[in-house]
Amino acid sequence: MRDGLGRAQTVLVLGGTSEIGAAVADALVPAGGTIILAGRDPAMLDTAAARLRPGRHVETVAYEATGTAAATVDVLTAAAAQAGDLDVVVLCVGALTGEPSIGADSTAAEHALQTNMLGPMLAVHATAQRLRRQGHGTLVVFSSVSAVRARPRLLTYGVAKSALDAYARHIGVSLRGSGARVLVVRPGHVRTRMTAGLAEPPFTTTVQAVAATVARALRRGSAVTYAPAMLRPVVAGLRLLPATIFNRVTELKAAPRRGGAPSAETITEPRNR
Amino acid sequence: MLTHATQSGSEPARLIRGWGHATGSHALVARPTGSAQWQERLAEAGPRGLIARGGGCSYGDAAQNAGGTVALTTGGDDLTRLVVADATVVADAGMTLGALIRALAPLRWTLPVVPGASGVTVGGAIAADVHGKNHVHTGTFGAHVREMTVLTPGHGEVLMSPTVNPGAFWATVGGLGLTGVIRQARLELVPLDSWLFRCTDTIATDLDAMLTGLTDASQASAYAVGWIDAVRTGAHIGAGVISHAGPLMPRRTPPHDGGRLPAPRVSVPMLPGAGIGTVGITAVANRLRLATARVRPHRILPLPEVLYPMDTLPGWPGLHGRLGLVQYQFVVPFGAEDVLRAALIHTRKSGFSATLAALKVFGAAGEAPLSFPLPGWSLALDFPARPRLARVLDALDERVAAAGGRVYLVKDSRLRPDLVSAMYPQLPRWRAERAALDPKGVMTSDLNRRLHLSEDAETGHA
Ligand SMILES: Cc1cc2nc3c(=O)[nH]c(=O)nc-3n(C[C@H](O)[C@H](O)[C@H](O)COP(=O)(O)OP(=O)(O)OC[C@H]3O[C@@H](n4cnc5c(N)ncnc54)[C@H](O)[C@@H]3O)c2cc1C
Ligand SMILES: NC(=O)c1ccc[n+]([C@@H]2O[C@H](COP(=O)([O-])OP(=O)(O)OC[C@H]3O[C@@H](n4cnc5c(N)ncnc54)[C@H](OP(=O)(O)O)[C@@H]3O)[C@@H](O)[C@H]2O)c1
Repeated sequence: MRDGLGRAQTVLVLGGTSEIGAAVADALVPAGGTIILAGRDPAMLDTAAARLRPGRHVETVAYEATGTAAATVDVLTAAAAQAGDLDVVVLCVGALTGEPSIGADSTAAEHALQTNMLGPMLAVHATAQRLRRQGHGTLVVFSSVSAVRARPRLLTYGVAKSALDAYARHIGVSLRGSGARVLVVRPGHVRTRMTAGLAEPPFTTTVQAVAATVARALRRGSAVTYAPAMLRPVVAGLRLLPATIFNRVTELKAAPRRGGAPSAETITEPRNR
Repeated sequence: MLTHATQSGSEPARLIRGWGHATGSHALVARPTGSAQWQERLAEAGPRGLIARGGGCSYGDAAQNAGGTVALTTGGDDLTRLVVADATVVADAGMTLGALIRALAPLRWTLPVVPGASGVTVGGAIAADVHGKNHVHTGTFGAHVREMTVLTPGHGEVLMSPTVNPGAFWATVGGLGLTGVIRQARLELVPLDSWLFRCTDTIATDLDAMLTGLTDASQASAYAVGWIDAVRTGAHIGAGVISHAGPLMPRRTPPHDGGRLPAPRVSVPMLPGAGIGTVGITAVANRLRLATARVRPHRILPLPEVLYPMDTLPGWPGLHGRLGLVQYQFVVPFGAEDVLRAALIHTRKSGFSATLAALKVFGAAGEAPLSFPLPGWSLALDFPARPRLARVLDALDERVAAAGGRVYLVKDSRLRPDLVSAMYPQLPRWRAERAALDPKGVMTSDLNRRLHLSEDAETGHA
């Protein structure tokens, strides 16, 4: 149960090796609480578990986002069997697949949609059912600023996030009055392995800052939050631009990251999601 | 799938909060009346179980049950029966102590133990084994329960007393509603010597003066409590006012009608931010309180104003703003006075000063395994529920436990779960009794889930 000071006792991270997910769990769970990391690579899950601050119980559960809906339900059941009620479920599965790398490969497109859209949407569905029965708990869904307006270079990713974002928000509305809720998080560019080597656009942020933003949004009971918060007006402004100008602005060259020149491969990736 | 028919039906879940407004969760609210309806409710409780709720005066989540059923005992027509005989009264569990005391007064009887709020019900008083401002003389509420009828999931209605089913009886006293639903109780009464009380305020200038003054006052008077000005630091830590009261003897009291509840003097709206929960505002309020004690140290007050002074200030939690308030009440044995001092110093150093700080002296402990009082000092501190408070109180938990003390569970909303078994060493005994009365774990609450009081709370329900 969340306590009177808003602290979560149990947090499940779907995509347990995600750097953002680990930072959020780290920020939310006090000493004595439980963190469950769910992911597909046991060795990497153990590494992620070892990086968390000590003092909490850490468990790992197998989870493959491209699996069946039933398997996704089972993951939640397994997590709850280990730890009881789930106070917060953080969904941070995702893979940044640029349009150039998908190219003409239909299987690559399918995989990108499964990882960023279908798998996460099934996770939203299953989690919402469980939290509704529990009568409390918040599902934190990692969307992206690119969900607000997709860009050509990140079309599949942006559209997938956009579908996930809309789905999660509507599920959130349908949960009203049940005690369960959904928080949709739209980060800009966050320094993680996902963005390693990419040029850093303005408003680039850190996992710790994202975690603090999530903690604040949970306290307030927000439905949607941007990370950093400054992106809300920026994105609102960008949305109004005509397509030609929008595309040109968002594809502008940003400063290369920490001195290291981006590799030829990453240059084909867009810089501002 | 949901097994509880009404859970998927039209009846929407409702937000049920603790008195402090810092906790809250959604549950189905049931209002059973009569034994048949209660039994049906218990039999039909879904996987998230059921908890009884009386007056809702517990500060935290003891009478909440997220996703399950919260069954109100204050449902209505059960409240009419009141049988006084043999210096005892038989009352339904949903009756409030305020109403009971009013009804008994014309008969010149009253209850030996009364907590600080008139809205507390008989069931809630037993389930928390509450104490009054006279613990050194009378012990807890449970010590004066002659017998009670409890509806249990495992064995239906069970008659319990200190001699009949004693294990079940003491597990239900202080059992936080987790052994079953108390339906009715026979309570011992004491003669009401006077409806009016002579109240005296004495000023204490530091903690030592407060402790010795309160010890003397507790022995000498019927009721005694210390109010601490938690803003003060340095040499004046623990300074405040000792209030004690005794009946106006002999029966020189004017005829009464059982008295009215103290009229609310001020009604307050919910304040923004942390409300009055800032050191500055508390400092001003405390100065006024001290000045009043200085100017008017003697007063004659009717019994309700002596028993429940907070009733004159409804909306106290609202004064703590949107976040609500948490109360940290702990007891430490005599000799561990340094923990009292540490609690005042550490909260103050972290930028908090309790908006209310009440000190009591406790006498001998009762028999119930989860009963709170033990011989020593009880300090209750109110704070706005700011997240930053967590670290300070977590550290205090450790000192309280190390000193052999404990935190009051019915008032809790944030205790460290890992310290519960150290604070309540008889927890295993209680668990065994509870498991016999409720083998399937039907009775459960948010407090139970948060602190893993009954063992099966760890695993939850699939
Ligand atoms: C202003 C104020 C002053 C207070 N002062 C004191 C004090 O001086 N001393 C003290 O000891 N406490 C004090 N309290 C706390 C209060 O006495 C307890 O929280 C008490 O349990 C509240 O009773 P209730 O009827 O409101 O129960 P609720 O708050 O509704 O429930 C409290 C617990 O009792 C259980 N319960 C209620 N009815 C039943 C039943 N019929 N069968 C089984 N379980 C039941 C619930 O499940 C829950 O676990 C104070 C509270 C307030 C608000
Ligand atoms: N970093 C940013 O700038 C940024 C910006 C906006 C939005 N986001 C979103 O934030 C979330 C977290 O991102 P991050 O930066 O922390 O990236 P990350 O470390 O790469 O995390 C992505 C997570 O998704 C998991 N995952 C991918 N495919 C999976 C599958 N098929 N089955 C199970 N798990 C799978 C990964 O597991 P493996 O370790 O097994 O691959 C990893 O745990 C993502 O949804 C991302 O889209 C990030």
